[in-house]
Amino acid sequence: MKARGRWFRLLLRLLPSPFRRRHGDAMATELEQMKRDLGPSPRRVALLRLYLGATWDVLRHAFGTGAGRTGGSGWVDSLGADARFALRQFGRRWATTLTMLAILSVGMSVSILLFSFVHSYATRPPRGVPASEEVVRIRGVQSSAVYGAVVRTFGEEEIEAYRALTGPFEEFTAWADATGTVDAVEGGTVTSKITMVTGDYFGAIGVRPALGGGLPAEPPGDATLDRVVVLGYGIWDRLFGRDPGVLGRTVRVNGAPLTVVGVAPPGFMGLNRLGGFQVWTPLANRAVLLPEDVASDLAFRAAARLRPGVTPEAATAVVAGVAERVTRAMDRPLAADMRDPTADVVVLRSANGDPNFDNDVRMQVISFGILGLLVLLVTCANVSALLMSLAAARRQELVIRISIGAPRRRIVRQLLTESALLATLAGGAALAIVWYGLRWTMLRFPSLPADIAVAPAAVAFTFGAALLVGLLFGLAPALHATGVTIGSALRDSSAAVAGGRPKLQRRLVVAQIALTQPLVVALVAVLLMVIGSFRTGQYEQTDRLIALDLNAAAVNPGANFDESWSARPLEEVLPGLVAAIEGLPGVVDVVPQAGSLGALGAYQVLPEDRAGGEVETLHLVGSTAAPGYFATTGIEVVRGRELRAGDVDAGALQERGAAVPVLIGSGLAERLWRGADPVGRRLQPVGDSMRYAAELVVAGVIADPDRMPADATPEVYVAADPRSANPDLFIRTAADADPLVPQIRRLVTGQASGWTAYVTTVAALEAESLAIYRGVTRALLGAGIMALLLSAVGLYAVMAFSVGQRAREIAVRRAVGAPAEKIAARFVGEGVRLGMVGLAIGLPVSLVALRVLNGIMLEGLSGYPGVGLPEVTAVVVLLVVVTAVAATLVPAGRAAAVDPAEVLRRG
Amino acid sequence: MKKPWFHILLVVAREAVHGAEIRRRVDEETAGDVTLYPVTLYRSLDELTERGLIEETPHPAAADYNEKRRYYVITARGREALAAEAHALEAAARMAHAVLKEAR
Repeated sequence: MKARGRWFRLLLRLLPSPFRRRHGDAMATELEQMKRDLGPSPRRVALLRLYLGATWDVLRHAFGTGAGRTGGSGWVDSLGADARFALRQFGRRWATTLTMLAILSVGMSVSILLFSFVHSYATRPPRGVPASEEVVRIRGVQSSAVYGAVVRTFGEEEIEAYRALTGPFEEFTAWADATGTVDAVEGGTVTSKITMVTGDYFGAIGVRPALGGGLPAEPPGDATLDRVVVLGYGIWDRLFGRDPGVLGRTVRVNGAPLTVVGVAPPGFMGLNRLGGFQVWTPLANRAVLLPEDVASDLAFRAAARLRPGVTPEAATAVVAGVAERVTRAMDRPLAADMRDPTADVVVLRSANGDPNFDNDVRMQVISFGILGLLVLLVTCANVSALLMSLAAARRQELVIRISIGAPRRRIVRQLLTESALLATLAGGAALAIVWYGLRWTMLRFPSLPADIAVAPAAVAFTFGAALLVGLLFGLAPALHATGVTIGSALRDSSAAVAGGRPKLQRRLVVAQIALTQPLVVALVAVLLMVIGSFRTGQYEQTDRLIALDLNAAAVNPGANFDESWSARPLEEVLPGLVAAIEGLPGVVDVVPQAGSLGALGAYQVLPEDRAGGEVETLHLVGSTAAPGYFATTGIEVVRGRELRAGDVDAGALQERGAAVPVLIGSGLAERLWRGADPVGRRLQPVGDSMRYAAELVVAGVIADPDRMPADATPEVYVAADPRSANPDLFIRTAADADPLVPQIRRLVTGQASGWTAYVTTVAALEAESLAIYRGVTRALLGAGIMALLLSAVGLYAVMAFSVGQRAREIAVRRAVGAPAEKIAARFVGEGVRLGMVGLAIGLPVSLVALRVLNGIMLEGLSGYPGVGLPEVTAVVVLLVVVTAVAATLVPAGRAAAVDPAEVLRRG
Repeated sequence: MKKPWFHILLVVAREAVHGAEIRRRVDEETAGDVTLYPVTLYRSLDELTERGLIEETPHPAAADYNEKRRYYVITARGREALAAEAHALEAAARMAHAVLKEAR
């Protein structure tokens, strides 16, 4: 309020000083009074109107006619007149104006969002943490010969040493992460990260729980008071349906009963962004949550709130000294190839936690930035094309105004006003879209690394770009028109004045298609990948099939990354558990899930076993299947037999001379043997560097999943080694499997201590992946269609303009007998040609985009098939050509319908 | 006559009023149609004073006595001007009605 009052006083300085001295206070008080007098109902709108009105009031009197100066109007009033005239102009060509506004605002908002994401990630704290320059990370750093500076976690002695540093830190907190189960007893069970914290974790980093309080600042030491937990928002949602009565309830974390004292705010995932479900509990509970060897060797990270006046640099000096002293005293503080352990203090940002982890995200961030720039460029190219045609249509108006004596600068100012108005209107709409878009994005993507805040720099940049485009292309006709002699312009409105314009405009459209192409290529590629990786219908009666995945209950990431623990080895736990599950009423059968052997290498059909198909070298992927796997899951064996106990198993794959029975998919069988019976035919490994030496003998053929792409990497199933324990099981039930899920969870808790189970029906899994699949494909399709629409509008504008320009030429052609279809075909051909030129120019960019995408997909999301350039290019070329034809059909039709007599009479 | 002048004169014709009160009454009497923003209000008051249509007056013995406030009251010339404006408006209204009646 106060700031606004000051703003008004500042504005008042524009007024003549005697007047201001006389009434300044009264006017400022008056505005405050007007604010108080506003009705309570739609206050925000009324307030905005009041501010705008008061501002206009000051400006009008400072510069306008209201200033009482004699003669002439001030620039504010004439600006108003210009703006009104511009609005009338827009109204006259409302369709083009609306199109431009829509394109500009959507393009601007998308780029603002993308830039803001990049900006927020680099400058904002992790999600759910309020921004503060006093909250810092204390990072362990070490250097490696290979990787340079690497983050290290802290041991307990080091944490204790930092906690004692009351000089730089007002509050200090450290935490260690483990994995386990959270059991709401009635609500269900989830696998969750368990973060054990020291000190006032939430208070120190300034996070206010969504419900209840944080954890006790100093553990009271009384074991019964320590047994508390703060639930992550996701767990609260999943297990308790966001019931506010959750406070005081008991949940079992790794079996230990803890009282819920709070719920973390939505989006908050801790400071090292583990993602997924998460709970926080005092470190004092480690003895009841974790086995002793894990509890005594936790990997800590730390954060703190600086004392006022202490800089991160000053704190770093203190912390680094302590780090050196403590680590020197430890016998083995570092992994073998690491040296120079130290620590530093940095202001908490989302991006400055762990350089190793953040490299992946940085890649994403950079691609987001490039995408944003691309969107902005496409938008600007498109609007430029539209502005050009709009401006060309007004050339005669401008020429007439000049001829009746309008000064040149008056016309330039008029066009500048129009451009600025267009950019401002679009910018306002874009901000509204961004506002709603952000809310939607934050809700839709809870795993974003930081709260996205609109970056003022991003807004300024996109707005500047829009303004620049508006000025450049809105002004062009004015400069042009004023430079042409009036006589020639009036005599021939098209040829003399239009001269070089269509060429420039065509270049813009080509540029735009060239820029759109990488966007569409990337979208299509991801779409194909998603479609290609999606499988349904592999299993039968999925509502009667339960998937059970066992996980070690706790892992200890950090210093000893490879050490996970289990109270009992899987080999001991599994037989008893399987027997117990088989004993449940309603359970028909239990089989291990298929396991992956990865790539087997190159194989060829033995010469004597070939049957007409091409001689092909196949790169096979192997999976293991236990006896009865196919019968239990309902995958149909269409030929031969299923794998059974006693088959030569996966363990024999390395043995030269062994013959390992395999099941192959029907698609592969067809490809290799063209309808001939494949059973008994053999494949042999080829090439030198093969890992596997045994021959594969086809024992049977199974039905491929639906929508299996023809060129998917061929997969063979080998009998699983019966001695190896597979922690993932399928359970077939006689009736609806849902009631059995909690029973099986309880069995795991009882029978397999140290293990947690993810239990769900396959039907539920399929529904979930289908929902994700639908969401992703819809979003991609939407984005792709939008990019194409943008291109189409640009093409349309150019073609329509070109038809208008060449009305005379068309009329002459018609008059001398050219058929209408031929003329229409010419324009369609021109559109297609423009499209093809754009495609050719954009191809190298698309190639790079595709390579990057394939790289990301292969590394990050294994299981997604790579997508080659030919398919994608084919799809995109087809799309662009179809778009070009569609965008030119209407103008072409109009060209053909021109009445030659009419045009020639006019000309 | 400027629109703000007319409405201000109407208010100060009845009694001596200060600036904020003028704004409030104009807002009330025109049901929100005319909003006198601060600069318009005080500039109009100055202009009307210069032209001798209103004048500042020592504050009347009011409950909300406030030394800083300037009270304004209409002058004889102001009344004349207001009456002339009222006649002009009346004439304009009569003409409009006549035209409308004819059109019917």
